[in-house]
Amino acid sequence: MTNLEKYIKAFEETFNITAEQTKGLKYQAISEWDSVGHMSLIAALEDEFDIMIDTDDIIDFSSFEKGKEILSKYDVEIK
Amino acid sequence: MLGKVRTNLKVVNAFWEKRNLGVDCNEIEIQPGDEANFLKRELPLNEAAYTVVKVPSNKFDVMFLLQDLGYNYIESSINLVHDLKEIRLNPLQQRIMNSISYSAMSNKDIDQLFGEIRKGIFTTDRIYIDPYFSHEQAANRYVNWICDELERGCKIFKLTYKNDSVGFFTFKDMGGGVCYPFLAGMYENYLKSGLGLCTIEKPLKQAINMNYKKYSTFISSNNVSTFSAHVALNFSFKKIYHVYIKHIV
Repeated sequence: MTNLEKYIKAFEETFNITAEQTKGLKYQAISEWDSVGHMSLIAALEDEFDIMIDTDDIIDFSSFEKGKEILSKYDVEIK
Repeated sequence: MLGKVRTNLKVVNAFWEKRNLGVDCNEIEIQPGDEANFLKRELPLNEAAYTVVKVPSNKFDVMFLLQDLGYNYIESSINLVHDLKEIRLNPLQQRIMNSISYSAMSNKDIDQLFGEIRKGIFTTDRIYIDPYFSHEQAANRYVNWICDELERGCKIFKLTYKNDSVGFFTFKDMGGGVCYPFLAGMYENYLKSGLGLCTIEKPLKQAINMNYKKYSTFISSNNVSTFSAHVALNFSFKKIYHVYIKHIV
């Protein structure tokens, strides 16, 4: 499984959405992506990529696309 | 005469809403023993320009009656409680919560809070979503509410992340070891930060530090994310009542 596939899977499983729905997805655009959902997503990504995301980055993680940029800081390239 | 209690219907003349919203307002609390026939007769006699009726969730006949009388359902108010024995957080939540502190507000902090409220950080309450009222009125109502509660002795705290104020919570003593943090929220720049849990976890912490026995709060059904955050922090459901409104223009 590629990093992109793993990344999409984290969104799909956390928010119970399809891969198609992840495109352009932003925080609070769906009811599932609230503060509790945000924590669950971050936990899923930390587990999946075996990283620990800084609080500043957790705050900045505002969209599906922004998340890719943030993960690149942890040497996780999502392509 | 508007606002005067004329029957044994439980009617409160919400005079503070005249200041907040510029309308006469009566709040009517339906009691378990209130029969539909009695209400059909008495409710119209106790209506004001803006009438708010709170109905216990099992009074199905009253819900239909209110619709027949021209009332609109606007929200449900959900009472949640916490026994304050333990705040259960997962490791990630704990890590994030450890990075946020709280402290009592100064007057300058309160000014900042009022500025944030006026920016529109609350968007799900029954005034904000009601087209009869402006968003400015909805915000001012919160400001007035906090001022009133401060005069009555409530405490107010700011939430801080890296020296930046990110939100707030209020803290009211209800007596008998029960506290009621009646209002909390994140500031505009942090509304989408994912830190919202701290508006509940910190007052829980404060309640435990102050040796309270119970934390009781009311959540609007319109605010699903706040409800979900309380569930995540192991609150128990206590009761629910449905809120209906009517405007007489």
